[in-house]
This record gives sequence, structure tokens and C-alpha cells, in this order.
Amino acid sequence: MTGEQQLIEVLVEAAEALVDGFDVIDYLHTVSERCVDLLPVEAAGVMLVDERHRLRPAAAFGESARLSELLELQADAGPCLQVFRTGAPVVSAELEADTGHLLGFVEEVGFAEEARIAGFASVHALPLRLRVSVIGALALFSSRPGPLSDSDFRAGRALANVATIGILAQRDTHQPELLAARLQQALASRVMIEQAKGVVAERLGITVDEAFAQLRLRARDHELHLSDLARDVVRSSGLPDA
Amino acid sequence: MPPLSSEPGREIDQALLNAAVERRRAERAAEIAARHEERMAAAAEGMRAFHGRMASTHRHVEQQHRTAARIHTVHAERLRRWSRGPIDAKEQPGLVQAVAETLGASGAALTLFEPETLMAASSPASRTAQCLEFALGQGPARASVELCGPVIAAGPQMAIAWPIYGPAVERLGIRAVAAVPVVAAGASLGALTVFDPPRAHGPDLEAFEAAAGTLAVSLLSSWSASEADGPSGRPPLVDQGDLWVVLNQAVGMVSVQCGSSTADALALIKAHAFAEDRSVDEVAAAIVDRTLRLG
Repeated sequence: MTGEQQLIEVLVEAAEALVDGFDVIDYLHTVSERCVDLLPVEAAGVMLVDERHRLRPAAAFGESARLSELLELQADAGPCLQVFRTGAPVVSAELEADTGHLLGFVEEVGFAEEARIAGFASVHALPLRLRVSVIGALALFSSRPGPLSDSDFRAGRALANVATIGILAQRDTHQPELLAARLQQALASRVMIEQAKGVVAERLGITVDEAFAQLRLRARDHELHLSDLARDVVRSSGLPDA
Repeated sequence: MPPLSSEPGREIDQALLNAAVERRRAERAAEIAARHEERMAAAAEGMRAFHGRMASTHRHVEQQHRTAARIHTVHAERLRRWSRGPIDAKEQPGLVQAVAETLGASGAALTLFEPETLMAASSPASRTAQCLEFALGQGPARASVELCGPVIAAGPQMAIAWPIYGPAVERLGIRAVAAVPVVAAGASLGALTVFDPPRAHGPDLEAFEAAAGTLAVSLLSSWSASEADGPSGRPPLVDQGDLWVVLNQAVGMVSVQCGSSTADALALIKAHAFAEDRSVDEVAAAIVDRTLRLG
């Protein structure tokens, strides 16, 4: 099979998993495995951002016994953290002697040292990106130094996207940023509804409970969301007709 | 309103599960820290500092998870005691009460800002103190959100930091306050205020931060779970909190009475409460009952 055919196989496999329903960790494990099959790397892992905004290993595949440690380490240093911070892929972070010194961080030297001990000569990291935010990274470890070829890089990007799609399909609404925004939105609309009750009660000289009944009736008649109607009532101080 | 009989059971299970997850994460962090500590001894000169720093980072992470585990365990225990007690004896204990107990403080309160909508307090005194901060527009929760960092004040420092709030909480018998931001996914949600934190060994700001993190995670994770269950469910923290319902109704009424924006109406209500030395709650209730008009 050519590389392209293999990649198509992977996409078909991923699509089937998405349709059938799946366990996300299992899915990410498969993606890591396919990275090793398709790319000139011996190990691969997926890092995800947790609720506390820290990178955590989610799945890994490879020969090295130290692989999970190398992933753990990237919460604090290394190419995955760099990807998470900048959103840009890190290709061929070579682990020759002084790379870390060039980067200027002792942490980076530490990571490079650990990766070298594990037998790797280069590490690549690709972002798992959802629009503008980075939700994680795909780490690729190779025993050979040097960059990925253009076609390997593209294949790696495709695999990173396959991982992203799986994560999104699973957690869709489980993204902390989204959740925080939705929670605030929901609370804001609660406030707005109470204020709208007060506005209507005062204008019509009725109780707040009666005002709420009026608002609900009007929302239903005009097929509006109660929170949208409430916002209009409060913002324009516009009076819904009794 | 007594909750459905299955509710406390489910929350106890969830709390125990959360505690187990946090303990596991603490152990994982401890393992990593131990490995770095081990390496530090054998490492070359240049690498020693690196391993030292990694070890201390992971020891810190370990402590954060241990605190979170303790909070969930205490919460489960409180829920269990409560569910065995007489029906309707007291309101169902909330996570904020577990936070106060774990931190060894006299009280704790969670406030969400943007909008300033939700407040969950562990005790009547904490609630009163938090209402004061809300009404006066000054205090530790607000300060910690503005600073994006912890705030702590004890005794006379409180009056210096907050000339009106400080003396007012002192009159409630509170001798020290601390607050840390509640942050989720890099976004600021609000603040956790700790009343009378233990000070024998200096304030344990790291524990406060861990508690704030626990509240943030609980807010968001139960929020996502409730969304999956259906739109009606809300995180227990939100349901048990105070959403200033009556106050916001009063705000709507006053905005009509004065032909003003709701923001101005809220400011008017707060000013009236301050001038009359009444609580914002009382004033709001009087407005909604139509025994008081502003404007």
C-alpha cells in the first residue's frame, strides 16, 4: 500500500469509529498507533488540555518504556508545551547536545536529555486545533535526527486532525472554554429574566408572578426564547403588550 | 424544598468518585516528583536544578490534588450525615461548606462575576459578609479578581484595604479574610472568599487556590453533565447558590420607576440600602412588595 492509500484507510477507520460510537481514549490510542505505522517515527502520543489548563497525556503508542514519562514531562517543557503556547507546529526539535541551550530554558534541556536517554534523536509536535484554540498536541518521537518530509508532515497534520475530530465528537460540549462561556451566559439570562419580570410588573401594576406569566405567554405567541424576549424588554425597556 | 430521594445518593457517589480521581492524580504526580527527586541525586551538575524544579512542580500539583480529594471526601461525608438525619432538618450541604471545613475556616463563599450573579456561602455569617461586599462594591473577592491573584487581610488591615467593608465585617465578628480567583480554562469566573482562615502557620494560599480550582472544576463538569442530561439540570452549586432573584426583580421595577438603566437602578438600590443601613435583600423585598418606591 502506498502512503496515501494507508492514510485513506486510516480516515475510513476513523470515520467508522465516529459513526459507530467509540471510547475516545481507545480512539486516540489507535491514532497514535497509526502515526507509528505511517510516519518515520517509533512512538507517538496525544496530549490534551485539562480543565485546569494543563497538558496531560491521553494516549500513547510506541516501543519505549519511557514514553509515558516523556509525555508527562511535556506538561512543563518540550515541544508539546511549545505547540500549546504558540499554536504552531514544532518540526524536528532535534535532541542533539545543545538544542535546549539554544532555546534558553533549563526545562527544555531537561526534556531533551530525557528524550535522548529514551533513545530518540528528534521530536515533532503538531497542534490539535479547534479554530483559534489549541486543545492538545500530537507528539511524534523518532530515533533519526532531522525534519519530517513534506508529505510526512502533511500526513502528520491529517492524523492530528483525525484526533481532533474524535475528541470533538466525544466532548463537543465538554470544552472548558465553551462551558465557562455558556455558564456565564446562562446566569446572565437568569438575571435578565428576573429584571424583565420587574419591568413588566411595574409597567402593568401586576405582581412579578403575573408578569412572568405574561412574558411566557408572549414568548410562546411570538416563538421567541424567553431569554431573548427578556433581554429586549430590559434593554429597550419596551413594554410587551398586555 | 426537599430534593428527590435519589439526589443525595447520586451526589454522594459523585463526590466519592471525584475524590478517588483526585487521589489518583495526586499519586501520579507524587510518582513523577519522586522520580525527579531520585534523579536529582545522581544528576550532573547542570541538570540538578532542572530535576529539583520538576520535583517541586509535581509536589505542588500533588498537594493541589490532595486538597481537592479532601474537599470531595468531606463533602461526601457531610452529605451522608445529612441524608441520614431527619427529613427537612436543614438544607442539603453544599460543596462550599466542605471547602470551609477542609480549609479550617469559619466560612467560605463563592462569588461568580461577569455577571455578578451567583453567590454560594457556607454559613449565614459568610452570606451576610458576602452581601456586604456586593452592596458596598468593595472587598476581597472583587480585589482578587481585579488583581488576578490572592488577597489576604487580617484585623486592622481590613479597614485599611476596604474602608467601609472592613469595619462592617469586623462587626460581624470576622477577624480575617482571604480571597483567591476562581479560574477555569484560563477564564476568570469569580472568586472564593475564605473567612477567618487558620493562621497558626501563616495562610495556606496554595490550599485556597486548590479549593478554588475544585469549585471551578465542579461548576464546569457538573454543568456539562447536566447539559448532557437535558437543559433542565444545573450544577448543584448553581442551584444551591443565591441568584439574587428578588433583587433583580426590584432592579427591573426601579428602572421603570426612575426611567433609568438597570445598572443605575441597581446602584440606586445599593445606595438606598447603605443610606438607610438596611440590607440590600430587605430593600429589594420592600420594593417588590410595593412598600417602597425609589423615584
